[in-house]
This record gives sequence, C-alpha cells and structure tokens, in this order.
Amino acid sequence: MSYYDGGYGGGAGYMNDSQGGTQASPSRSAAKNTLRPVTIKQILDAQAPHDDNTFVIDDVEIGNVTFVAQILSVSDQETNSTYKMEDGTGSIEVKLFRDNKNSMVDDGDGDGENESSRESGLQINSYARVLGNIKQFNNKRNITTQSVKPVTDFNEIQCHFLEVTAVHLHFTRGPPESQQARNTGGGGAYQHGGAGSYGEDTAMGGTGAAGAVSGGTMLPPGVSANARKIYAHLKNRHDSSEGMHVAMIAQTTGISMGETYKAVDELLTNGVCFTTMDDEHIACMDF
Amino acid sequence: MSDQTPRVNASYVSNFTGQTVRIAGKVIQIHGGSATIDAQGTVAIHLDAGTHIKTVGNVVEVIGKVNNDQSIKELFSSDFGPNVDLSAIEAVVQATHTYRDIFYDAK
Repeated sequence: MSYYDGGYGGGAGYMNDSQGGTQASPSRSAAKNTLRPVTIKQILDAQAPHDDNTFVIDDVEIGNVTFVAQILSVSDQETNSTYKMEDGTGSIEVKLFRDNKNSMVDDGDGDGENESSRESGLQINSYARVLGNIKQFNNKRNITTQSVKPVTDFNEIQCHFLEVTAVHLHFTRGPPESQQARNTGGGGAYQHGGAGSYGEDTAMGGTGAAGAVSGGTMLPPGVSANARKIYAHLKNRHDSSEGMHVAMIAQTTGISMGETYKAVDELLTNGVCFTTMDDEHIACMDF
Repeated sequence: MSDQTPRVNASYVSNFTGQTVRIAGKVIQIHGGSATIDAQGTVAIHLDAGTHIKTVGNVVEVIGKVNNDQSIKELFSSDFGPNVDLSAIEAVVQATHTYRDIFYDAK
C-alpha cells in the first residue's frame, strides 16, 4: 500500500522535524496537510501542548482528522448544523458549516432554512463519515467540518476502526517489518527526514523521533517508541566506545529514569545493545 | 448513560455485565420479544419496541445493556443488511480489546 510508504511514513519524518523547531511555519503547515483516521476517544484524549488549537496524538501533531460515527442529534443554526455524534468510544459535537453557494438557496418553506442542502441519509442514528479539524472552546472540544457524508457500505465502519488501529500502531511501534524493509530501499524522503530531524532533536532536547528513526535500523518490530528513541540516540554518538550511562541517557533524551531502564532492557533483550564497563553503561551494537 | 459502548462478541459479553456494549452479529432467529444473534457464539437479545432487528440472516449491530444472565437488553439497533464482512467485525472486536487505550476506559 502506497498509503504507508509515502503518506504516513513521510509524514512522520516531517512532523518530527516540527517538534524540535519553535515556530517554523513550513513544518506547521506540513502537519496541517495530514489526515489521520481517529476514534472520538483519541480526539478527547489528545494533548494540546501549546493551547493554540494544535493537538498531539501518539506524539504526532494532528492536522485533519476523519472518523466514522453515529448521529445522536442534529440542530440547525444560522451558519452551521451541529451534529452530536458518537462512535462507541466517546461523543463529540461536529459543526458542519454550509458552503456559501448553497446557503444562498432558500428551500422555500419560509423559515430561511436550507434543508435540501442536507445530504440525504444523514438521519439520527445513522452512521456518517466526518472529515474535519479539532477545535477547543472553553475546555470543550468539538469538530469543525465541511464534510459529513452518510455511510452507505457498513464495511466502512469496520474498515475505519482497523485503519485507526493500524495508524496508531504505526506511530507508537513503527511500521511493520515488511514495510520497514521497503522504506530502507525506496523511501528516500523518509530516511532523510529521519536523519535530519534527529540531529535537530538532540540539539533542542525535543521529544521523540520515534517514527522517523525506525526505518533502516536493526530494530525488530514491536519495539517501543522510547526504545527506538534511545537506540537512535546511542547510534548517533560515534564518539564513545565505552557506552553511555543510563542516567545520562535519561537526561539527554528527556525520558524518565524508570522508562529508560525499561527501554534499555528491551534493547538488551533484543540484542541490539550491550552493556560495557558495568551494567549501567550501554552501547549500541552496530556502531 | 455512559458515552462509551465497547464493541464485543459473545465471548466478551460476560466481562461487561451491567454495562452498555455494542455487539454485531448475524440474526439467527426472532421470536416475539426476543432474538438470537451469532457473534462468534450465540447471544440472546431482548428486543426494544423500536427495534431494527427484523430480518433473519441480516447482520445487525445492537447497543444494549448486558444482563446478569449474559443476555442483552436492546437500547438501539442498526440493520447492516446481509452483505457485511463478519471477519472484519471480529477483527474490530479484537483490536478494541487488544489496544484498549484508543477505544474505551476500563471500568
């Protein structure tokens, strides 16, 4: 699937770039141009690190989101229709703004409403696919959108939740092994993104290059994001053959001591790292 | 009513007694006020007056409360028609419970 190679893979590299940087506008717009399938629970749980309507899920900045959910209620307002929707993981209000052209057309029943513009099939309790942006007002999250489409093939519901899971796992555990191999060969942009953002990351003490560094390493699939980050960090230090102290790793990567021990243990178990002069100094296998 | 209705199959029902769940399966029989569906095992549904469970053989999704006897009291249902991939439904149930973080909070 080209989906992962270019789309999500490349996207990951890009977005990690932006995490180190402060206000770099090009990388911000890069995140804006992404589309991620999510559950409503993920939207409600998303972190908002800057209080400026940027949201982060699985350490990755979110642009557009898409989800499939049931309509609980509809209320028509002057400029938008508000759909209360739920997908079994949570519920959220979705504001569908009418596009200007249609809102000029009155449906002729004298109430100034434009009922005919509503997509037929968007009835209460029916499933719909939403594509929109997360917004937060007064601590309440909602979705603004220009696209709410009825689901006509019920397999789309299952497809959506499996897609959500696949993307979640892609960002938290890296791509599946088969795709990792392909990325090493063909994904030039992916590799570049990874290497570039990594350097920046260390310098700025930023968070996770998790997705970006996973391609082309010896890491087996299923290794945690923290372990990947530490592995990449160790790998990047060509100066030292005596390894790095666990406390130092924790400090420079910004991962807590407990989590660092866990991640280091994972790397040792997987045989990609080894201990050097004592149990607390770790070095990376393929220097 | 809780916002969250975890997707389950017949074997998960017993873990959710007293809670509201979503269960999808094929309708096996309808008998007056109750129905039986197959969701990796049979589950008895106590039908609501406004039920959409009307056609044997169709795949339905039921939102309902799990009774002590593992039957489900329907709150709402959707008829998905006959042409829905049951293995995909089962895959979603497995994903829901394996990667719970993104689907529901533990009670």
